[in-house]
Amino acid sequence: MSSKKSRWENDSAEDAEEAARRKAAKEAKRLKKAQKAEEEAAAAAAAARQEQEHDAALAVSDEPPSKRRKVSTEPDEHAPTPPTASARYLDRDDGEAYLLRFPAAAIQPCNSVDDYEPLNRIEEGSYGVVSRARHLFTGEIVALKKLKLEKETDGFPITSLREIQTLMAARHPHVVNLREVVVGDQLNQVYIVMDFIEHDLKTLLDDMPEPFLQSEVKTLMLQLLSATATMHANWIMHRDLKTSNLLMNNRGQMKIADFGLARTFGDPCPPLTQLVVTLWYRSPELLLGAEEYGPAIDVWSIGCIFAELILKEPLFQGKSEIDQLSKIFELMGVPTDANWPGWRRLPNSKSLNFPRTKQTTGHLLRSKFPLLTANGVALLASLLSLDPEQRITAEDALSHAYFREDPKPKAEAMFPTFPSRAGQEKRRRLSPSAPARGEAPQLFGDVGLEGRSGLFAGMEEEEVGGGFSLRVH
Amino acid sequence: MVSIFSTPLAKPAQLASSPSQLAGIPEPLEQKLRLVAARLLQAAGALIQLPQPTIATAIVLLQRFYLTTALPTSPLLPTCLAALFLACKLTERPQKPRDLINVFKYLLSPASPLHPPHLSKSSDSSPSNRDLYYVSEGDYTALRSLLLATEAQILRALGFDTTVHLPYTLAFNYLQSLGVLTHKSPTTAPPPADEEALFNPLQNEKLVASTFAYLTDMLSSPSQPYLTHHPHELAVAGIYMAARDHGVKLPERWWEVWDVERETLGFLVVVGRGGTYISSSGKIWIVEEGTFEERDGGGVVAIGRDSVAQEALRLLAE
Repeated sequence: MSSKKSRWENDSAEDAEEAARRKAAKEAKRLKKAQKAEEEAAAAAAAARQEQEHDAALAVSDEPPSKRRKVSTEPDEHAPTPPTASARYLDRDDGEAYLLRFPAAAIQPCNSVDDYEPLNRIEEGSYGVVSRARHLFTGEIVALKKLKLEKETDGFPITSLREIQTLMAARHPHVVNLREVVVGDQLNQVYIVMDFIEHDLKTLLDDMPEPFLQSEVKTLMLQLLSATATMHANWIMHRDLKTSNLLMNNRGQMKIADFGLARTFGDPCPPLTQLVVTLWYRSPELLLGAEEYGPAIDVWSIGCIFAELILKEPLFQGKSEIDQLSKIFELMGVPTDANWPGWRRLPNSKSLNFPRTKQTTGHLLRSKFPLLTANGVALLASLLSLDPEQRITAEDALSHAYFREDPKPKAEAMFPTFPSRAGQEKRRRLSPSAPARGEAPQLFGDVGLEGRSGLFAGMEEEEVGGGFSLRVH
Repeated sequence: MVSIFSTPLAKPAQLASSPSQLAGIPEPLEQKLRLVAARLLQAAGALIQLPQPTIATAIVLLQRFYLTTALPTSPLLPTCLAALFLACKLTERPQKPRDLINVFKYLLSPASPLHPPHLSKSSDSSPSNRDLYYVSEGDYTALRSLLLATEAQILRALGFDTTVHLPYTLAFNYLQSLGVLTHKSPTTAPPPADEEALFNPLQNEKLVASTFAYLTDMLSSPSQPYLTHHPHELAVAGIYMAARDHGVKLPERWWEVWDVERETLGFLVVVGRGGTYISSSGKIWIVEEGTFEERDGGGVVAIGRDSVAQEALRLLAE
């Protein structure tokens, strides 16, 4: 091949000279490559002897595609394996360009849902049913989400298309991994197969006896922010971030799930629906009816989640849109032309009227979160900035000073583990052993916890300050 | 950000064995039908005023679908409809099935510019014959359910991986980076004298237009380069051909900047240049049911299931 002159080569003396020079360089490189391939082959042969045959096959399929696409169907065993990227990079000494190869996904039909054995139902929502299942071939436990398509009149719903597309595009260690999409016999039986994750953060927060430590909150926030930053960099908005959509495994890793409302956006912003994000996590610009919004709505939700991780309960629990807004303004202060220029132009702002005094502007996060450091409060305030323009981006929040100060983020491996409700595990309680035979025990004196008499009387009336906590780290 | 450069591609084995050919459709007929499908989708998209990315997505989805499904199993018309319907959703331009069905009815009617003129004269296609133009409620319901079922089939055949990355934006970006798009701005320092020719705005507009035209042409090439090559390779090939046509000088070995090999580029240029399966002199006409005709490079192609089956039998008998 290399001896033949390329059809697209120009016919001129200097070109020929250049070609000859390049050919010589290529020849030298080829020799070097062949030598390396030989070495690799020898090493591979040694490894193959120790490994199972199917393991070896897997390893081969993992390799990057060879340089030229072959049209023959027979596998070409003599094709030299391309050296690894770093090796190729070191090879470039002759002006020969180092070209990137991009991997290509295969075009192949769906597998059948019969490959999975159903175990138990995890939860059911308007979008469909999630259940736990076991892959029959590998024995791996997965989460199977059945899409509700029975009522669809316009074909496969665009929201489910978006969900699958965004999940495929937003590959990240902290986004739940989409394994494949499988189908049943009927055309409307479609299941999304994802990794099974033991907990969702909402249930976990409810079940935990104590809230997360500051170091743990930092790790979780960093994970959440890095996943969100990646999504936003890929022009994907999640539009429904909340603790029940954040999954948590027993290895200290949080994963964003449920891309049912996710979609791609652009610049300029395409027409978007305004009814997104669960009310408690909905940003003020959405509540005020903004027709154009961007990734900042996810950042607001992250702010609410940050507060929830500390408080163990949702920050703004509004009963209606207007109640939600008033709860937000109560804590974060009312919008003014100074802290949110242009908020008066939003459709729903006309109907709002409230006093603008020193007392009502500016946030009260300091007194709401007495144990949070100044940096922590600053981060929360910038995540929960009323003006979406001034709200910090997920990318910038990652490098916030809060994450660099003590206590440092906790290593994932050091996270506590919990029994999984979705995996139907029971909490093993440390209970005292059963009473032995004998006289019935008798209680003397008044402990005074139940009726709040005696020792703890009048506790409710006491002034509750910031107090102190022994477990801040 | 690597993702926009990588799109699902066909495996060599898939390209070597076509399910349609296994089902008794000879290769020339299959290529002809694929070309006609691309023409129909392009025309329908233009009539509904869809942007080119939507149309291109539909064509690529259709080509991918026929990699795994035989033409007799999924006839061309409902597949075209479903591919376009799906592409509209994927590119956030949802359309009603009714609109798509109406447009295809028009495209296959005697009034359509795609209809063979010599046939409309001879047959009894008077404008009063409303069946030729009007989709009755019964036909509509039947076609609509066929469309929706085919949509589900397409999704299943593609494993729900509907990622289609197109070369258009990349090509524009590359043209910008090559400095052949920027208008000469008075504030910046004057460019070197030999670059003078590159800054003619009129020429550059044409350069972009023909780059895009080449990229669109390659969609209907029988070699199906959109199934074998990544978008950056297609973009570079489109630019190369357009720059050649307009005599725009580009830096030496500029394609390597975008990770394209000379050999790949050469292959794609051959595909793009010789891509027209049916010679440019012959016009290709499309009818729903009827007999195939060959005339000076072009001819009549019928897309209906029965006509295709008959033509396949005829070709096999030859």
